Formats: sequence, structure tokens, C-alpha cells
Amino acid sequence: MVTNHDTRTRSLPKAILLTLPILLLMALMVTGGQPVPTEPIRLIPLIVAYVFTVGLFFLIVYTGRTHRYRSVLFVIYAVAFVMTFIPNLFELRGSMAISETEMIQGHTPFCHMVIPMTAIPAALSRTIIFPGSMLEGFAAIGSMLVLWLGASITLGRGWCSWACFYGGLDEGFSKIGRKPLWKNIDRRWTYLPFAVLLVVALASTATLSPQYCAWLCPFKTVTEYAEVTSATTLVQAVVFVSLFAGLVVVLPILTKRRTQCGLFCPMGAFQSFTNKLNIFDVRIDPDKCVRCGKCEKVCPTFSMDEGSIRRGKTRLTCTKCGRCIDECPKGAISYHVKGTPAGARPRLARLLFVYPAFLFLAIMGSGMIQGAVYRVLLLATTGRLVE
Amino acid sequence: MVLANGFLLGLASGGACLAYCAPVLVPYLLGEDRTMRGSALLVGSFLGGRLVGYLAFATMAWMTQVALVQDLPHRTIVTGVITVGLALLLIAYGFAGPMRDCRTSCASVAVRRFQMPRPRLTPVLLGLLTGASLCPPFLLAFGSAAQLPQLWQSLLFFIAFFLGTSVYLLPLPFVGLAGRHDAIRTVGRLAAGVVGLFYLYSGIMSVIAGIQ
Amino acid sequence: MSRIKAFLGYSCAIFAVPLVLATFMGYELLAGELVALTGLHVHPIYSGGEVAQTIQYEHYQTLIHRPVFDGLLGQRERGFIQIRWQMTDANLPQSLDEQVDFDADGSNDFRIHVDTATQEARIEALDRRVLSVGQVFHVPDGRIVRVHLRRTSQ
Repeated sequence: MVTNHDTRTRSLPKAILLTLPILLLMALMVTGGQPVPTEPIRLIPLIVAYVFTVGLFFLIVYTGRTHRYRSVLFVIYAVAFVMTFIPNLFELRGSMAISETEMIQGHTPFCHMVIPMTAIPAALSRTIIFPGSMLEGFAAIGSMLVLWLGASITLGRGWCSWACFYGGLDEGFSKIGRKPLWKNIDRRWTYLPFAVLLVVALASTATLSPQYCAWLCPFKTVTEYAEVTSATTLVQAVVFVSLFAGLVVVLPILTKRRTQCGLFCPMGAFQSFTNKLNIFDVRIDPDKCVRCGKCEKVCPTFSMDEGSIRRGKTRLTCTKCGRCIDECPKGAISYHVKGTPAGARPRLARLLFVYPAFLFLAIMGSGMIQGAVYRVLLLATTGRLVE
Repeated sequence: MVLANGFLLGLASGGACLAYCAPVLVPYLLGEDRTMRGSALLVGSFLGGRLVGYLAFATMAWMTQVALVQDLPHRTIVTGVITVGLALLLIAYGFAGPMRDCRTSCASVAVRRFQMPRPRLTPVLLGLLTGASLCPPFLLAFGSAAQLPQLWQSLLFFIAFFLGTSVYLLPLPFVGLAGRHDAIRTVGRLAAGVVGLFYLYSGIMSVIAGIQ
Repeated sequence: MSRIKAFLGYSCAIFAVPLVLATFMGYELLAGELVALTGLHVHPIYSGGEVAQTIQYEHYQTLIHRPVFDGLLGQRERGFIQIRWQMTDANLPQSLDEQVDFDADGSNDFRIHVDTATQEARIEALDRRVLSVGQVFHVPDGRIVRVHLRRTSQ
């Protein structure tokens, strides 16, 4: 086990002090500014979510290990999202499938995965090619765009490890098993997300229809999908279920990497460009680095290679998950604030990044965790998952 | 008059032609490391193949007197088969070609063994198959050309139509300049493969629809 | 210079936390501002386009949207017109009939009949540009139908 001496807070009181802002902010955010509920079925989930998120932040600060505890929250967040979203769909319309009737009323929730496909039409004609609503209803387009913009400015492609509620599924399956069974993946496949992005962005612009959603998104398996009413929708269903099984379940288990995120997701490719705007990145101190290549072996999204290590930084696709930082035996890798000297004040840079990143993850995650715990309690007390 | 009508129809249909050709040509141009002149030659080769496809169908239009267009099931099967051929070519180009940006150690044994040679014929074949896949503007021209009394008039009409549509494709060599970067080249080739997969599905569904 | 860059870097980094809080606390308000500022709206092929005409009946109203031929930048050859029958104070009658002049030239272009019990629609085209009628969507407050059109007469 590698202990990151550079960033560990050696003093318990100091760690508690550093956790205090999160303690206070999460108390505000987890209640949404509303009075604390009194009925146990609402109160227990709130307490669980609060204690869990604050506890994890304390561990991040105290142990100096970012990835280990971020990963726990990230995976649980994704599972909680599925546990919350699916019953919600059944309560709303009795099915995971979305019908054309729902779409024509603009009731389709807007998912962030659509953003790359809507970018060109939005830029050219100020229209969103999606059967949703700009401001009304659940996951309205405007609200999701604001959340995405905030995350992109703050985190860049850190979105993929600190905000995306799908990435945790990929990451969760990659944790199964001790060693990878398939190690050598041809590096050119790391460019596939950009190729998929190019094709779906242009195809969506040409057809005025979000093609990734229609044809390729594996996460429809655990959220919602168009009703199967024709041969085309049947083929689409087979495709997305197969992609989920392959890219989200099987390949992560075999490779112990996030294969959907690193080798396919066009949203991830799109977010990579926001890394250019974001103030945080990950740097390698050439004086400390011994070129052991461990970071390259463990990076979940293939964002380290010989060239990037030589240049002292990660590839554009880095999701700032912190794994290479935690695993580096020489403590040569650290979070970094652009404009400052590389390797200078790593502890400060880490804190400056972890505060907003964890806050984003915790706020998004705590809502889902509350929802999931609520569903579990509902099942335990009434025998039903839906109200 | 024949020339003018063909050219004007081509100009009017050019946008749609660009929409049909771009998914094939853009990834291909991105996937090649060429200078501006080289990219222009590639586009020229593609257009040449497309012209051959057009002229072949112009000849068929005159000889069959519109029978192929009106006979919808056969047309769908022909389109489907040609699209499948185009798809396989794109998939082979995209996924099985050599990766110059990739160091030899990182390309798998399977890929190196199955490398597709990149003959000069590739852009010509792509153009031929794209042109022969019977896109809607082409069908429009086909119908007009088939009604002309002489073969040479049909051929002239198609050449003029081809020139009219090609105007929209002239800026594409600039896209090829991005292919000078290794990463863009890799993305271009993989994108060609992804487009190929879409076309494979589309072609198979057309054949099935035609048979039914 | 390096000090200025470092100062700016740390300043932006510190600003990240308030930005996250502002994002979550104000996303609904910010969403409204974003939409107002950019003019972003759902593409008419999904929203059905703006309502061009409202016809009031005793217990319901008919909302006739404008014809939608919108492409990305120009107009497409094929489009549709969306018609919505909306209950006001009672259930919709079993039979809905409407005559529509979608190009405002003074003459009706089609007649549409909808059976609200069987969700079937029939159309009588009075103009060559009228192609067909799509399925009837049964929504909580009424029915929606799209009639497929061609932009030009040829």
C-alpha cells in the first residue's frame, strides 16, 4: 500500500479543521435549505448521506489518498442513481420505456450525454435537437446545461470522475477481481471516443436527431429507452444492451480499466477539450519520476503513456481521478494549478482541487444516496420499491 | 440545354450530395497524411470514381429506359448491396489499416497481420461505391437522364450534373490538412470504420426490405 | 510575470468552490437566464413549432401550429403541421373534425377527422402538398396529431 506522504494531513485536529467547510456546506446542501424532515423514512436517508459523504472527505484529507475514497462515493453514487431513477420512471409512467407520446409532450429528461450532439445545431441555429423541455419538468434542458457548464469550468474532464452518474458503473465493475486478465490494449483504441464523437456529432447535425442516444448509448440499459415498436428499435435495443454488457461490465472486469469511459464515450472525448480551459491539471515531477510506468498501468482511462510521462503531464483525456497520484511510489505525480510552478505546493494544489471536486460529487451523490436509501427503506417497510 | 439542365440540377442537389459524400470522404481525408495538393488529388480520385459510377448508371438508364428506377424492390436490393460493399471497405480501412502514429510495440499482432494495403484505388473505389449507392439527388438525375432519346445525351447530362454537385465538394481538401497530425489521422481512420458500421446496418436493412 | 501567473492561477482555483455552490443553488434561475440570453429553444421538429391559430369550442380548443419544414439552416422538403385538441372544462367529444388552411391563402388544405375512442385519424387532402396523417397521441389533456406535408407542389 502506498501512502502519499506529500499530501497526508498528519494531524487529526488539522484534518477535522479542513473537513469543517464540507461539514457545514453539506449540511446546507443535503437539506436543500429546507427544514430537516422528521419522519424516519426521510430522516434516515438524509443522515446516512450526510455522514457518509462528510466521512469520506475526512478520510481523503487525513490519509492523503484521493482515488480510494472518491471511488467509493463515485461507485455508490452511480448505483444509487440507478436505484432511484428506475423506480421513479415506474411511478411516473409505469415503465422504463419512453413512448412517443411522452416525447411529443417534451417530457424526455435531458441527459448530459446528448450535449456533444446538440452542440453544432445549437451553435448554428440556437436549437436543441432533443424532445425535451427547456425549463420545465424533471432534468430540463436549461438546468442540465447549467450544471454541465459549472462542472466543465470547475473540473474540466474531471466531470468523468467527479460528476458523471454513469462512470461509477464502469468503475465499479473494474474493481472486481484482483488482477487484469487482459493487459495489452492497442493504444489506437484510445482515439475511438473521438472518432465516435466526430461521427455522431456530424450525423446528429445532418439528421437533426441525437444519434448516440438512438443507437449507441449503453446506459439506456439502466435508465430509459425508446419503446420497442419496430425492427429498428429492436436492433437499437440489442445494440445498447450488448454495448452495456461488453463495455461497462465484461471489459472493465477483464482489464480493470474504465473501458466505456476510456475507449468509447463521446461525451468523455468532448469533455477532454474542457481540460484546456480548466485551471487544474495533473503533473509529473521529472526530478522524482523514475519511469517505473506504474501510472500508465493503473490509469483507468488510458491517460498516461510514455510520451505524456516524458512531457511531465497527463494526456488530454485525464479525468483527474487521482489514482496515479495515489499509486506513484515516489510521490512524483500531483494535482497542479495552472500558472504555478509544476510540483510546487502539491498539498495546497490538491486541496484547492479536491474541495470543489468533492463538493460537486457529494452534492450530486448525496441526493441519489438519499433516494436509494429511501427506496430500500420503502421496500423493507411496505414490500414495494415504488410508491 | 442538356448541359445547362444537368448542371443546374447538380447545383440544386449539391447540398444533399455533400451530406451523402461527406460521411465517407471526411474521415478518409482526415485519415491520410497529405499536403494540400495530395488532399486535392484524393478528392479528385474520389470524384473520378463517383463520375464512373454516375456514367455507368447513365448508360444503364438509357439502355433500360427507367425500368430500374421504377422497379423499387430491385433498386433497394442493389442499393443495399452497394452500401454493404462500401461499408466493408470503410471498416477494413478504419479498423485494419496500419497506424503510423502508434509505435510498433503498441500495435497488436493481429492488427499488424491484418493490415490493409493502401492502394491508390481506395479513394476511387470509395467514390464509385458512394456514387453508385443511388442517393436521392442521383435518382432525380437518373430519372431525367433516362428520358433523353440518345445515349450521348444521357452521358452529357450526367457529366454536367456531376460537375454541378462537385462544386460543393471542392472545399474538402482543406479538411485533409488536419490529417498531418498523427492523432487526427487515427481519429479519421477509426471514424471511417464507425461510419462503415452504420452503413453496414443500413445496407443489410435495405437488402432485407428489398427481398420482403 | 511568474508571480502574476501564479496569483491568477490560485485566484481562479479558489473561485471554484463558490462556482460549484452557485451552480447548484442557482441552477434554475441560471437556466432561465441562459435561455433568455442565448435564445436557445427546442427544435420545432420536436416541439411542434409555435401555435399559429387557436380555435375555441364549447368544451375544448384546437391549437393549430405553424407548418414545420425547418432544417438545420434552411427548409426541408418534407415537414408537418401539428394539431392539438385540448380539453378546457369537459372531456373531448368522440368525434373531432377540423378544416385547416396551413398556408393562409384563404382556402382549406385538408380536413381531418379524429375518433377519440379508437385513436384513429382520417385525412382528406385538398392540396397536393398534404401527404398523410401520423398516429394520434393520447395526452392527459387531449389529443395531438401531426399531418405530414410537402413544401412544394411538384
